[in-house]
This record gives sequence, C-alpha cells and structure tokens, in this order.
Amino acid sequence: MTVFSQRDVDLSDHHTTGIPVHEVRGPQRPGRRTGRRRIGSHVFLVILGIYFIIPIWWLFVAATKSNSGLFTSPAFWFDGDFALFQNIAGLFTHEGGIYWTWLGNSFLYAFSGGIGATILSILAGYGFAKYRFRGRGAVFTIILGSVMVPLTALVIPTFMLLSQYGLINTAWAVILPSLLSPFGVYLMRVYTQDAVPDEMLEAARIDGAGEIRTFFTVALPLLKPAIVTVLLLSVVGTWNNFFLPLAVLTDPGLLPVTVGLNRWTALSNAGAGGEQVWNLITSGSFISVLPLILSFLFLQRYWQGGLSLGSIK
Amino acid sequence: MKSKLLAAIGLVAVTAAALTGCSPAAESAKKADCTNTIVNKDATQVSVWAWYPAFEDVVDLFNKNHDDVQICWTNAGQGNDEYTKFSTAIEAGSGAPDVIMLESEVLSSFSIRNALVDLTEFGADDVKADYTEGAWKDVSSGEAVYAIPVDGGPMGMLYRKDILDQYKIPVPTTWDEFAAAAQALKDAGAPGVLADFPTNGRAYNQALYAQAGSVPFAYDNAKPTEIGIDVNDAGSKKVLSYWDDLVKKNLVATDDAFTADYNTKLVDGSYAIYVAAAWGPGYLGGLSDADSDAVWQAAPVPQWDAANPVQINWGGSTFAVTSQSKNQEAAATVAKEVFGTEEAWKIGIEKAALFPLWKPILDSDYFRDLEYPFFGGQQINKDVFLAAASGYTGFTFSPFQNYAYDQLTEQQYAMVQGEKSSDQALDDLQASLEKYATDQGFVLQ
Repeated sequence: MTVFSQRDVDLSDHHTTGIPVHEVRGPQRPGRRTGRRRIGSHVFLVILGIYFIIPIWWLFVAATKSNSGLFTSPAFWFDGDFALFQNIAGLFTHEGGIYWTWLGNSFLYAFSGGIGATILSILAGYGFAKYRFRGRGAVFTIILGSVMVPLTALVIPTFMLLSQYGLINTAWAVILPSLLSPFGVYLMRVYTQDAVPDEMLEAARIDGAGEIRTFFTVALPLLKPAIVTVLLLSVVGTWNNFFLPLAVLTDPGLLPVTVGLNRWTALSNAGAGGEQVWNLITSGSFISVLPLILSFLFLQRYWQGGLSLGSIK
Repeated sequence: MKSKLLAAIGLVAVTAAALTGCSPAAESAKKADCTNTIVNKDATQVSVWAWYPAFEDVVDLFNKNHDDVQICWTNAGQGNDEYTKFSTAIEAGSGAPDVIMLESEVLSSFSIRNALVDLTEFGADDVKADYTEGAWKDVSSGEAVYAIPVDGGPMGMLYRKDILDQYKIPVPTTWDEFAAAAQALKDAGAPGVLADFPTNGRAYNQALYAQAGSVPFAYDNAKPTEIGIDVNDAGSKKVLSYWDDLVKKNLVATDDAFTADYNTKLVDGSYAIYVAAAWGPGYLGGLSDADSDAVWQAAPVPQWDAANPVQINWGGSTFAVTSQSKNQEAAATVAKEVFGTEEAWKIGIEKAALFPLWKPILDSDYFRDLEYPFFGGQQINKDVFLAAASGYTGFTFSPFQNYAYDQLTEQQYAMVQGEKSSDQALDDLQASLEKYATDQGFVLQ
C-alpha cells in the first residue's frame, strides 16, 4: 500500500518540476541548461516509475494465473492459460463468496471511519483555528504530539478498552478507533486559518448570522478542498489499516479484505489441512487495490493538495 | 451552490450515521450465530476455533448426531494468527472460545499460563486407548492431559522418481546413502539439488535431531518452574554437522521454508527429495498440475542406523478446552468426539489431507489401502506413513517453544552463512536457551 503514497509523491514531483520548466521556456539562454536538466530528471523519473509500477504489474500478471501457473511461469509475464475470469468466478464460490463480504466490510469501515474522522477533523480544526479558549494551545499540542504515535502502537491499549465495553469482535471495534485522525485535525486547522479570513466571519456575525449558520454557509464552502483531502487520507488510512482489525476481529464475516486475504495466505502456507488458493489471493488482492487506484486517478488534484497543504504551512 | 454543498455535507453526515448505526445491530445478530448452522437449537452450544476449511462438514456431522451439545464454529485464523488472538483473550480475561485447535507444540506454552483445562477430570483417559502412545504423549504433561489429538505428521520421504531415475540414483534409505545420492546428483550435472535444508524449518529441524536421539526439553506442567534443556547433545551435533557438510559442498540448498520461492522449487524439480510429514502430500497436491512430467513417490524417511529405525513426527493439531469455558464438560465432549467417528475422518482425510491419529481409522483397511492419485496410485499409508506413525514415541515441547525455534533458526542461519561451526551453533543455542529460561524464572534441572 505504501506504493501508492510513494507513487503520488512521485507524480506530484513530476508536476512541481515540470511546471516551472514550462514557464521559463521563453528566454533562450537558460533553455539549454534546463533542457539537459530535464533529460536527467526525466530519466530519474522513468526509473522511479518503473520501480513503483513493477509490483503493480506483478500483481496484475499474477492475478491472471491459475494456482499452479503462479509457481511455474515467469514472474513478470503471463502464463499461457489466462485464468483471470476463472479466478474471479472462484472468488464468488470459495467459502460461499466470503471475499465479497470482506470487500463490503472494507468499504463500510473505510467510509464510516473516514467520513466520521473527516467530520470530527473539520469541527475540531475549525474550533482550534477560529475560537480562542482556555487550554487551546495545550490541547492542540497534545493532538499534534499524537500524530507521532502510530495507530499500531495503540492497538493493545485499544483492545483492552474495547474489551471492557464488550465491543471486541464487532464492527465498532474497527470504526471507533478510526474516527480519530490527529493529522486531519492539524490539516483542517492549518487550512482554516488561511482560507477563512476572520474579517469574513465577523462580517457574517455583524449581518446577524449565528455561529452555526456562519460555520455552515460561510466557512464550510471555503474549506471544500481541505475536506476532500482529509476525507481521502482518512478513508485510505482505514482501508489500509491491517493490524487493528487483525487484533480485534475474529468472526470471518466481519473481516476487511486485508485481513481476510492474509488469512487465506496463512491457510495456503499451512501444510496440514490447508488448501492452496494462491490464485484467489492474487486476484483478490488485485481487485482490492482497484478502488484505490481509481480514486487516485480521478481525485489526483486533491491528493496533491493534501501533500502540499501539509508541507508549506 | 452553497446550499447544495450544505445538503451534500448533511447527506454525508446522515450516511455516516446510518452506516455506523446499522452495522453494530447487524453485528450482534451475527455474533449469536456461527459459521455453521446449529441443528438442535435447544442444546448447549460450544464455541470452537479451528482453521481447517474442511472442518465445516465435520461440524455439520457432529451437530447432526448430537442432541445435547452443538458446535458453534469460527475460523479465527491459522496457527500464529489464532494463537495471538488466544493470548490477547487470556490477557483480557475474556474472549476465548470453549474449545480451541492448537498445534501440539504450543500446548505447554498455553498450559503454563493456566489457559487450558486438564482433561483427565473430564474423562480423557476413556479415549486414551484410541490413540498411539506417541500421539498421547504429545498432548500430555506428566499426569495431566491438555488436549485430544487430531492429526499428526509422521515423517517420510517424498521423491521425484523421474529425476532419480534419469540420473540413475537409487532411492536412499539411510542418511549415508542420502549424502551419496546428493553427491551423485551433483556429479551427474543435474540442474537442481537433492534436497533443501531450511534454517527456518523449526519443528522440521527439531524432528531431524530427535531422530538421532536428541531429547531437547524435560518439562512437566505439575512443576511449572522446572525445566531441563539439552539441545547440544551428541545426537543433535551429529545431525547438524551432517547437514553443514552437505551445505558446504553445495549438495543441498538452504532456502527458507514456507515461502513462495520454496513452493515453486518444491514443484518445479529444483529439489529431487522432499523430506516431509504425512501432510506434505496434501500440500504438494494443491500444486499437482504444476509440472505434468513430475512422478512423485513416497518412501520411508532415511535412517541413521538401518537396523534400528527411529520414526519422527513433524507437526500435528489437537483440540484443547480453555479455562475460560463456562461449560467445560460439554467442551470436553466436543474435543473428544468431534473427530471420533469414521465418517468425520473420511472428510478429514479426503478433503483436508489430514493424517489421523485416531486408531480405529488408522487400523482400518480403508486407510491402509487408500490409493493416492498424486503418487500414481501408490498406497502411501501402507508403504510409509502407518509404520512411521506407530513407531513414533512422542516428544516433550518446552513452554517457550516459539522462542526456542527462533533461536534455533538464528543459530542454523549463522552456521550456513559460515559464521560458526555446527557444534558452536548448538552450544550457543544451549547457552541462549538456558539464559532465557533463567531470566524467565525457571530453575534448570
């Protein structure tokens, strides 16, 4: 999954290096120097591109192979027998088509967790940016500090907490912890500070709008780019989260696709009593990354927005 | 424009609420029922964690035949995935099932944490006669019995008849012949090697040592703070220096086991011999159409002394009753009876390629004469594995078996990297295990 985040860094680099070059094309003299630099950076980008695309290419090729084809044909090229459609059919029948339940669960967790995290981030970020209250600095510092703590490190304490409230092995166990996104709060605060001028809010208040109306009609529309960015980041974060659902879910019908496929991998690797479904694992993995690839292609500018939002401010 | 956006945000909020709102409701309904269907709704339900996919049919069979108790089955993951969950549940004090599938090698690791129930209180001895001595020893610790055996892994040797025939190499019956065959295969210019020596073979490596008389651990759960450790005995040293020699001469590979690369090499002829457990054929069978020229045969595992053969075992699973179970009596019934019928075993053998430890099926003509298409119809149980199973005398695992395996892997890896001699590797292993045991509060015997 890191492949994608690295890949979008790579593409945004392409833009940031590409655009200035176009702009300075006019004057003759620097043209030659930039031209040479362009070749160098393009070669570098091509190398990076190949590096990042190879795993995806492998995954695509592997998704088209049959179980034994995977082990006997060259890794980066197709087997004689194109089995992608048999594999997809297999995903519908293996263990009663549970793969699609997993995919559905992934969507459920990613969107409920992601949307919830976004709403909380907007509210908190706006509050921090536009209201002065006692302890604002301290609370914000704590939130900022928790950006540094990876979710993985919190899994065991989270498990104990959820266990006390009897939420282990329920959908809540994945959704509730995903609702907190310190980075989202930080991003929203930083963006709100610049994108929503205080004068505008004051004007709205003077015109008689209440705080809630000011927030919804004045501030929110201005925050749209940041909202989409935070939404994307938190949805993808939850989608890719592996360790939390692994620890808190047991029921096969509740697993997200990441943990479910891992379970098939363990079973396929296990000698005794297991069954080898490598072809379903590769096809299943391939299908499970498609939504992310598509969202990346269509929402590219928001991804870049997210990266630069964090960096300049 | 603004109102549209407002509406959109509102919609998003409502959807989020709906999504989060409905899922737990759906969940609580799900939690009540199980992966399988309960036949007799009024009977006591026993929750079971087991990972074999073919277990579903076995569960259905059990539920159909029992009025008083029903199995509620969940697949909580295979091996370590499940153990991690079980461990967390032990720490949290709740969340464990009534009956759990565990490999025999981890039983001590859980019984020392008081996570398992001693089944002698629930009539385990009634079924003792149904299992071989070795199988029963694997689930016992002193007087206590912590699980009922399910399947085992008596070891044999699977070989590529086509490759050995092509290079005119006789099938080795002793380790000396095995080394000679490795040399002959290399001298003949074969593209592959005779076999692999995986440094991460864990239970596999340990079984090879045990064949030369190694008894690495002495442990009785009745005296949980005492342990005997002897991993650098003469037998282990003989075995490891044997493999070290083959590795140094490049006669065997040192690929890690249980990787995709290893799977590929098992089926593509890179190794002519796979020293395997009885479940190995099932594992290979999953990839049987990979190489249509391959001709597989099974033979007994090579011996150090052909006159006094020693049989060894690699892996095996059991059903244990957890101490968190509210109804241990019913749970023990499930553990004892779920694989206690011929019908259940036919499912286990034919669908999951399990090797039974339940004597009535082991002794049956059906199992003895079963022909395996993967081996061209060879009756591998009669030829190889039945003798291996009955000759196996059992093994005592340590209560920190995972740590011991990790250390073993580390030392063997250092050896194949040429960093230390085989004797040194085992001496270092002994020292590190003794230190760990002492640090953990064990008294060394």
